[in-house]
Amino acid sequence: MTGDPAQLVSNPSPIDRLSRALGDRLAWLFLISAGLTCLEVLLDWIFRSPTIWVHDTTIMMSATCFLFGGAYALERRDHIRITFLYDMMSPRIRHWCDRLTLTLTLVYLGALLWFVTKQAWQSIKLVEMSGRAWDFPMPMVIRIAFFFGTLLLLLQALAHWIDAIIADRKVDDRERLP
Amino acid sequence: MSIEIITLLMVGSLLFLVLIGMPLAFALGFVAVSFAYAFFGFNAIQLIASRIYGFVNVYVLLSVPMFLLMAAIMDRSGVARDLYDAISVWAGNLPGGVAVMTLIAAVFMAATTGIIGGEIILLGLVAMPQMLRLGYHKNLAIGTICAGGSLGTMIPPSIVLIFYGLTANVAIGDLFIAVIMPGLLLAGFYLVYILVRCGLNPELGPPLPASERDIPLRDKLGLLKGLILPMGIAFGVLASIYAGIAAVAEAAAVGVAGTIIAAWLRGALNWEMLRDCVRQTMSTCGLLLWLTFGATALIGVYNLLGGIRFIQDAMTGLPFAPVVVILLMMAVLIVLGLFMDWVGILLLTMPIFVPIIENLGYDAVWFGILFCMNMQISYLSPPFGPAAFYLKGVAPPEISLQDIYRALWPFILMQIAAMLLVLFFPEIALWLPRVLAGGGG
Repeated sequence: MTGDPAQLVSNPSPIDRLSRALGDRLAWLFLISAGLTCLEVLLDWIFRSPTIWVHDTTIMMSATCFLFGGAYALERRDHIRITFLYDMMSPRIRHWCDRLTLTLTLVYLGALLWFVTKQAWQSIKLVEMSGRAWDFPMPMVIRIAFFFGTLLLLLQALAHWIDAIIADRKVDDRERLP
Repeated sequence: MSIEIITLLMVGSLLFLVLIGMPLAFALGFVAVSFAYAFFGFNAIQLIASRIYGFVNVYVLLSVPMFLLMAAIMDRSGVARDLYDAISVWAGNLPGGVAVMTLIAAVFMAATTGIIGGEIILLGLVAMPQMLRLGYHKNLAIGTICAGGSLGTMIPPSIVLIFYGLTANVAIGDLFIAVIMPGLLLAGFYLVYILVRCGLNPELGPPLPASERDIPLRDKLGLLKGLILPMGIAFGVLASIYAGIAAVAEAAAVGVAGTIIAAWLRGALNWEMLRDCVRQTMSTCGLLLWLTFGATALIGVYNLLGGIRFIQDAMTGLPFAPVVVILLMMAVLIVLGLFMDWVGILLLTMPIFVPIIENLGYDAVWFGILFCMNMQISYLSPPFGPAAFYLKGVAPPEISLQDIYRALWPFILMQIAAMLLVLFFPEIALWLPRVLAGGGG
């Protein structure tokens, strides 16, 4: 679960760059969430006056990170795979496997995106509210993040797919730096 | 189509896709989506999207990035190295002393950073050369480092237990308390093993030569000073969870602030370090969560097809005592652990196993501890024990992967023995939570 901060060097596509840039920036939300939560703990302990918004704000922030993290991890090729058989295959067969699995990944993400979009759209039309103490359109925000996170992940998988099929480049041709 | 055949098809297609190198997260998602489509039509996929949405909308989930961030910052500020330096000077003239101190350092590292890969690599870089130089038998050195370094998930805070808590709907605080005794039991087993083997045959682990033992007490104590703050933070975070003062996510967030302050006091804090830590956290969270999405989707579809009912009926209908069912589950987990990562195993099996054991009248907290102990085995067991790979990466070149696996089997046997002890004597895990709850905690 450690995963090294692998850097891919060979000319990243625009999508690669977008996934990475977005992830790099959104990652700071974790630190902000930590700060806000500490603030909340202090307010609650010392002044006995917890806020009503910190709790839900941190949920929205971390949910956003989780959802965009999929594309980020895919771009860094951090997603967990079982590679012992894969590593034993010849480069040609491996390349065919990549084409197949990337295509199926697109099917999954495409189907998911369809419904995620529908749900996000409904949520926007209703301006779906949380109905909690702090009545903020939190469900709408998370559903929108869900839409963009899935879209970006789909695009990221598509970038890899184009790499493997159109450009006919093997995934392993890309170098990994420690 | 009967559920038996559906199950077979599902497992078969998943296995095929994963083995040809598809990331687990997407293989799970694809199988879920295609089975939902085949059996219930296109609109059933809507349910998958809803299930996923329900999952990110939970406050406890914030504790995952918080603990990851805390561990990453502690790791990067060099706490583990200081821990080893401060503890190893106490080895004295005890046979096997350095191995014992390595193990003790590993337990403390588990409580602070808890990053298994990081711990094994560090111990492989600093403890391994020292032990080999002193003339330790290499098997003892290898086993101590791999088994000790793997304790990261057996000593709280543990991401494995947080995920178990989320999946099985069990209080994470309870799991953190319950794992303490089994974790120490396991470490105790390793400790006794080292002491007995070196006691019987001191050549396996020669004590430090007198010249190296001759460190003034003041210096030894001085080394401990740097550890007060990081250890204090780790225990403070856990204590506030145990005492019920703070929610798990809140305690973890305060822990993040504490580790940042500690890193700053040590002069280890800088922009690049923080940046790398949040990025690492982002990627790990992304892969964990999308993996969870895939597994949630697949388990959801399987449930709709009646699969979970089928397995539950099959398991509870077995003409065996309930404890045999538990043993069977443990065997399944060990086999899966040979090939798979803990998180995949957890997400796929626990939604099925936990209701069964609860139906049988067992405690889900206890079962979570058993699961955690079981996953200890998966770190060491060939052919893909990650602990062995981490050590291989930093060990002297003459030590092959075969050497490492050969050195690990006594430790695997101890892990199995400790797991069986907790299995047959659940009190080892459940005693402490009860005492703390009874003591008005």
